[in-house]
Amino acid sequence: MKALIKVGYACNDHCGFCHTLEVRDVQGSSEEVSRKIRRAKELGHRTVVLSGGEPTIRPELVDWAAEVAALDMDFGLVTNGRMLAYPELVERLLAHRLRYVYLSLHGGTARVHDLLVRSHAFEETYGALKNLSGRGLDLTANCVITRQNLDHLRGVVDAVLPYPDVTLKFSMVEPKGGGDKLFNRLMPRVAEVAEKVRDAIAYGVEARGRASGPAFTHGALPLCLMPGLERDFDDLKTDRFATMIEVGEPDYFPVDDTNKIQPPETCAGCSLSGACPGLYRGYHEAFGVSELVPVHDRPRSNSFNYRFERLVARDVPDAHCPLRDGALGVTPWDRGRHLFAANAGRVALYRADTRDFSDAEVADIKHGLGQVYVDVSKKDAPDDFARDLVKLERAALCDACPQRDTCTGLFEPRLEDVFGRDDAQLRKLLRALEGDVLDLGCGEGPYAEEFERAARAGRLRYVGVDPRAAEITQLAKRWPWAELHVGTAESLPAELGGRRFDHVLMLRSYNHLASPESALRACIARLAPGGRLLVVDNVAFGLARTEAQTRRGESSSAELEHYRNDSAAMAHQKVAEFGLELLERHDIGPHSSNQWLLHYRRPSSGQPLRS
Amino acid sequence: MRELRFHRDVYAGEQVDAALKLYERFGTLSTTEEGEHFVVRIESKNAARERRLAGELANYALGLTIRTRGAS
Amino acid sequence: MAYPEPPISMKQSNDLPKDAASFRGVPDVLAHADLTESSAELLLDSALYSLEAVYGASFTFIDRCFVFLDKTPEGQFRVTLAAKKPGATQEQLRDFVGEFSNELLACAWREKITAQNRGAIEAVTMQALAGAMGPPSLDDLEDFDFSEEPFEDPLGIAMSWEEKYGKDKAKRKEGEPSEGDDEAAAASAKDGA
Repeated sequence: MKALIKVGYACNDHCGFCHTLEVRDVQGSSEEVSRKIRRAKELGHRTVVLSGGEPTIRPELVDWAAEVAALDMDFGLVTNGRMLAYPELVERLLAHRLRYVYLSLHGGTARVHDLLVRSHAFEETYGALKNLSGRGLDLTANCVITRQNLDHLRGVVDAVLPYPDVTLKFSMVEPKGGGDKLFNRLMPRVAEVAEKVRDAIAYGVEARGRASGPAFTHGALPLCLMPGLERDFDDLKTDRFATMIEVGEPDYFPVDDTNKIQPPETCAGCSLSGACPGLYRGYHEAFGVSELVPVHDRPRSNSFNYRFERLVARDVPDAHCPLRDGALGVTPWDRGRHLFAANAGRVALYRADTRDFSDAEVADIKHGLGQVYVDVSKKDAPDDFARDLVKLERAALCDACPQRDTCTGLFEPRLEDVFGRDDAQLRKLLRALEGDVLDLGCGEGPYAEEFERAARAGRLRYVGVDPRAAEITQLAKRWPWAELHVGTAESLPAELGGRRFDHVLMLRSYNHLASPESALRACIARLAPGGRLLVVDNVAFGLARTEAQTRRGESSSAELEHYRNDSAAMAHQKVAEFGLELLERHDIGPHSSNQWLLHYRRPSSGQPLRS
Repeated sequence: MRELRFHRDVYAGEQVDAALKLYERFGTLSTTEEGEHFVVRIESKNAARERRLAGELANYALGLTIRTRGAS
Repeated sequence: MAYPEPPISMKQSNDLPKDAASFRGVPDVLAHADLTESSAELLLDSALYSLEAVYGASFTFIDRCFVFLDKTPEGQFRVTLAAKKPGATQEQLRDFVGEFSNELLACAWREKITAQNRGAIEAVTMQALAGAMGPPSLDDLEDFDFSEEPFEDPLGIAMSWEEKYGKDKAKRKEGEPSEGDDEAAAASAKDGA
């Protein structure tokens, strides 16, 4: 992972949208930067990237690169590139493990680029691109889009086409610093930017033909505005930045997206929300959400991996916190994405790089829902949770800590089979069912034994429905006592005619429904007066896994089956609209498994149903 | 001058090479092969620096070897 | 601090250094200190301890010792633990031997229970260890010289915008953008204003 150090804010360009417009006279000292380089090593980073301001104007630049390399880390720069027009400087930096360069190129010609950076800079910046290309670098040219260069994006594509190892990134201008102060003059509308970026990328892809590059990406553009290019987003996390530090800050902080927002009134439930940057907050305040077009018909993942990074402590006494009391510190660690797991005096560090879930979702799964497990299986994906997973929960040591609610926390194994315990409650409920039962999404029949005795005794008439014909065929062979049909909850099989049921079950099928509202409407209509609806499902969870497990899991070709990861509260909000009476509700929490339960009764005859 | 003898059964040759590459600018490192061993001779400004360089180089080669071969 | 007997073999080795110092209760041929080198040496029976277990124990010492492994013609593993700072006492070196012995036993035990696939909870630690084998950290290298000659900037590119064009002008442009300010700023820059 990379650490980003801001060495100071002075710069030899003067972009109108400069983030640090108000503090351009602030420079960090040599000693401060060196100390931060050593701290990056202590935190386990593999790469140190210097940024600013402009880091290459500092006379200590090569010293810092040498210091980074001497500590066995790679070196990188976020730069306007002008000093890298000197081939000799590039050579010296390459000798000190320069591996990453993120260079600002805002126009494909001097006229456009120099207009944005308000300096005579293009020849040097573009010359740097030539010096850096072909040297085995992770090399990005970043084009910030303002109203001034919006119509010139193809020109930037033309400029990078000769360099196949370059990634050209198009970034929405941020309303911060100069971008805020000159908002009205600089800020284009995001939908128009997205359209022009899509055009430029299509132009670039066609122009490069069969060549391996350049690659084209985009940043800070809502993914719903980039159809077909949703996977080509690019940000600090895709570039594997974990932490950053500004001038004068005492320690590192995780990189975050708090400057952006996914407005809940539009983006809640959007299938793209995991990786989507949403809108800059300042943009949202000025222009609202009218340009967004959320997507709801694509499947989502229901788990993510915490990949093992390293063992950070051993022989840790019970009362000692390796973060608060030790060298690790509290602030450098992402509250959701880092995971410290302690066992028998040893503390292991894991990290979740998933982009299927947003930072906020990851943090909620870890801290709010408490759904983090160690995968002790050797499988690509665990399928027997009670055996394969060991629950992790917040260490007792954290209970009285004043930093509990901001710290990433210390987690310990919970010595209890929470899956078996919670599933036993469900099985008990199913064993007691009698009458006509409609099981929507019966799948492979994981609860067959709970129905069979009552069905064979004639106390229960079981109807199972599943969209997968193969599953139904298999079940029919094993369950002669059941009536089985191929169909969906939204479109029930015609064979059911107008039948009503005493119980309608949705057992781990709710989050698989493309449209839960219409499915609920259809199945609640099938409930006899006084009949009951049982909805059970899982929320998403994080798995702490070894490097090898993570690699295997991520290369697995398993298809995504969930359309959402709704909790009991979210599902109840939808069911409540139909006027059912809630009988029982099991929510998810740090001491439960990831399985929730909602049990309702339809009002008796005479009481109206809302629908 | 110091000498480190890396046994082939214990150290991966390519990882010893990687360690040599990392530390070569801190001293004069020469290598030969003798029977079961890769032999590295280390010369630097003074004895203390040679000791430090030898130790860091050995640790690094061992760490890389363990990473590639695994441990219990 | 009490340590178990070092898990070392009873096989003999005849290549002790001349200035070897004994550890109380341990035969010299099995573990001894070399005070000149600030190091301790152990001989381990490879029939009892696998190379993987030796790796595991060694890894835990990399952050505090220089660790060197070798194999004797008799097939024993020779482990040398040298203090990172010279001048270690015999007591400190004895602690190294004791702690290494503990760690080696733990690694061998973990290896055994892993083979038997026991204990989901222990697997937490096991997996952590299995992935922990990155290169060791270099605590500090201040002894080493890495001072570099500053890079010459004959074209004066590194001069900050404010130095080059003057702070007052910059301030006016930042704080009070006038009509066509972007164009004007770029033009003024090109003019060398």
